Amino acid sequence: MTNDDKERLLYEAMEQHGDYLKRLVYTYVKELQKTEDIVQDVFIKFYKSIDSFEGRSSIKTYLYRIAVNECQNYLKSWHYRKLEVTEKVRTWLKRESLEVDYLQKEQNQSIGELVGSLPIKYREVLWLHYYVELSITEMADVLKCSPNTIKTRLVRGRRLAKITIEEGEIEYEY
Amino acid sequence: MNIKHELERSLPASIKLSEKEKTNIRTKIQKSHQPKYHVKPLIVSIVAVILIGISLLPTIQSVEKASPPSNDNSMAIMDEEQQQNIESPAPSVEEPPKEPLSLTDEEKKQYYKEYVEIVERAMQKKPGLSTSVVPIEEFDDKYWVTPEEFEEMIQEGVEQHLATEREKIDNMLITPEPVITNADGSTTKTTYIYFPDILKTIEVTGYFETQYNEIYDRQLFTKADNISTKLAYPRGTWEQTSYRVSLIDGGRTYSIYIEGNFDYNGLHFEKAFTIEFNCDVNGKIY
Repeated sequence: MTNDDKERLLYEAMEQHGDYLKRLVYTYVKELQKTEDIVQDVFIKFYKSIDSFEGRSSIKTYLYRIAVNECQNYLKSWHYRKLEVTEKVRTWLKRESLEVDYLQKEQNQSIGELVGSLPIKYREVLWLHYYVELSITEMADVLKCSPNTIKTRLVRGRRLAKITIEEGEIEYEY
Repeated sequence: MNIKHELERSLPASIKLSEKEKTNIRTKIQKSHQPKYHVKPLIVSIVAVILIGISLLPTIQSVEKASPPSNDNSMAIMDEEQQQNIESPAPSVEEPPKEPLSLTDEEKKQYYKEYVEIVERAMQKKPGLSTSVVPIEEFDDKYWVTPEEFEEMIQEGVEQHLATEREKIDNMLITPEPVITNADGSTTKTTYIYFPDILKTIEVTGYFETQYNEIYDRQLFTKADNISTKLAYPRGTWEQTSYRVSLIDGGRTYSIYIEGNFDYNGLHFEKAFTIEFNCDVNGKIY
């Protein structure tokens, strides 16, 4: 593949998937600056690995697989964990005052907020499915697990986020 | 109810891959290509030299063996070298594990005191790291090193951090934010400061005056005042503690050294950085 071809693919990937990919990365790291760093790394890795892309999956799936991998690596890093632990400790300290509003807050939470508060394995399948609109098979490819695992996580994630699907219609369940 | 829109609503407004980011990505890719072209012939040359060296080695050795020794001393030296080669072959990449230092309690206290001083000295330069020495009770015996080694480790850590900072900032400054002249006459310029894994955008604002200089036939700076800083995105808090301005480059540039504290998620960082404001021939500040 010539450099021109690679640059064309990169351009198309950034134009078609850039915004969605950046939003998905944000749902993992929840820090705008870090999101930008990761998105940049994702596209650079994408460009550098285009030659080894075998075409067994779509460009979109391939790109999201790199993105999810980068995000998961970041979430495993010691620095993130240190920040996360500190954040948790701060939350514990504040818990007493927060409890008063807890029930009221839960009632007012939107689906987005509920999904955002879920463990990462449920959060990522809900975002990939409902927002990025990947199929079960594509998600299995991106997350490197079996379609059955994806289905299970999707069902549990929906239940936790209080999403029901009735005859194709999605609505709140309180 | 559209769940896709519901999910999107939970994100901060307008998260998009901006044109600036796209340009940065392309530029970074192009930059990563450039060195390869320069390095490739060099690598090829080095490999060629090594291969030639290896192929000539048997010939050189046979010539050496065939030559009569000029005197006994040279022979003795050669033997010693060969002996050394046998005892210590090619230098290994991995150094052998060092024996842990065997220290008395008094020595440990002395070393610990020196460790603390070394870290304090390094942190006084405000590199943007949050580093301190764990309590002496938590020091496992295998962790004790000489103060010199400890200082080297700390220096390496700081240098590594600053190198990462430079790389990240250079990357952001490929397409710099425009310098803004505010309604009150002040000027704001954007730069970046780095804390491990977080690059923060910081806006530096100051009041500058320029004046026409007949000798140089151009505008030059005459005054800089009220330098203030603030984070562009309010996640975490930044408090400026001091600044120092230096007029350099024949009056064309103000170099401003700024110190402050950044607090984020309970972590505290002291940071110092320098930013330059320049004025062109017409007095425009950039």
